[in-house]
Amino acid sequence: MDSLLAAIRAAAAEELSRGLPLLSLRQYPWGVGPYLFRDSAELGELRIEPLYPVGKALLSLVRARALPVAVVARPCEVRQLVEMAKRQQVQPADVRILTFSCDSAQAQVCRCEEPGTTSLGWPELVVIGEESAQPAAAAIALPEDPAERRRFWAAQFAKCIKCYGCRNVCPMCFCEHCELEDPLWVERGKLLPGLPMFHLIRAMHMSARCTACRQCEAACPAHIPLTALYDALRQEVGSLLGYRPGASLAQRPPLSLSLREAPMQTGRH
Amino acid sequence: MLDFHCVRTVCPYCGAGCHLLLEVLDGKLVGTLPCKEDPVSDGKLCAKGWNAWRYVEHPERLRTPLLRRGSVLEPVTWQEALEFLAAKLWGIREEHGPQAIGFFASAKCTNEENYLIQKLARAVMGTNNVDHCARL
Ligand code: SF4
Ligand code: SF4
Ligand code: SF4
Repeated sequence: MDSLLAAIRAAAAEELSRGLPLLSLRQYPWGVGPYLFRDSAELGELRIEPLYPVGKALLSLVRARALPVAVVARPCEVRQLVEMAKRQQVQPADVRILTFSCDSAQAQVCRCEEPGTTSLGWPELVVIGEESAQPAAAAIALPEDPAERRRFWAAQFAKCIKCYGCRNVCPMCFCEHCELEDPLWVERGKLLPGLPMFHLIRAMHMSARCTACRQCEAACPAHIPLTALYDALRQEVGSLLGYRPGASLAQRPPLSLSLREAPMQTGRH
Repeated sequence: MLDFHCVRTVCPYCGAGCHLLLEVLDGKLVGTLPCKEDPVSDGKLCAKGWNAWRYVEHPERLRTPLLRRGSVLEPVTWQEALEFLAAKLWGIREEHGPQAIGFFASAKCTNEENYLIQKLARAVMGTNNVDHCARL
């Protein structure tokens, strides 16, 4: 871990010396959080955990046209950048990626099937350190019997307090108009009715975008195993349509790019 | 070149006091994140915590005390507002006695602020009528 951090800091210093600001996590006096490094004297404070959604912070920078930028991203986050690029949120030429393989312990925590790095066709991507991780199984134990499983999910969804944290924390939820705020589907000021459109819509929208970073699940105050649902849908999309979110920059998404996902202005200014 | 950093703070909405991170871009708030190192919230927030940052720069946020004169609310200084309030409260106390006054504290305040309001109620005004918004 220490040697990996040292290697990441060395690579980060190189980016800064080329004049690129670098988005990563920093040890502040009060704890760790996302930070845009500009001064190499601060790189001793660069951290890679706890895992914060770096892609989310990157979108803030993109919206402020703070480009080009370098970013330290874990494999699932690199795949998110790939999906963002396909959906006109970010232009690959604007973002230099420094990535590294997660370790086996982290893969276990994240139930991560793809903890290793791949190049994915991103124009400027630097791989740091060794490929060290053993993939973990994504699946959690769910009831086999369909009726029982339906009851399981109904009970899970009934716990939802509609904090919108799952959507807010998700780097792949960047729509200008979110369907979950449309009163047609999700009634305001009420908890979820029997047919949980909130959850079904989000699961549907994640089926070809989610890269299983598990941030939504970590943010859910109701401890709903949200990504078990997204994993299942993503597997369907994979086997039926041959699409894996984030696998390649060249592969077009199989479903419509989205219902109301307006293209953002990502040009340099 | 832009500055982007986070600030750790406490959600102002309720007595649970979840920590959260404010995302600051060039001096402007642009978002919030749950604080993963906070044992109280365990890196989770409710709808209020997720949106607490939004009122900071909201155009309708009150930025100065307002005093109603006739039918208009007029901006006044804190000095003027506090003097007006003190005179009113003291007048009520003189006329109807301390039991005519109640103090209402808040879960949004710090312990120290709540201590101060009960002190003001008991030691200055002479009433034990002190309650708290969480009992509503
Ligand atoms: S795991 Fe959750 S937060 Fe991460 S990409 Fe998928 S839906 Fe979004
Ligand atoms: S519309 Fe769907 S994909 Fe877009 S922000 Fe809302 S939940 Fe996320
Ligand atoms: S994070 Fe959990 S409780 Fe909050 S809206 Fe999403 S599913 Fe519901």
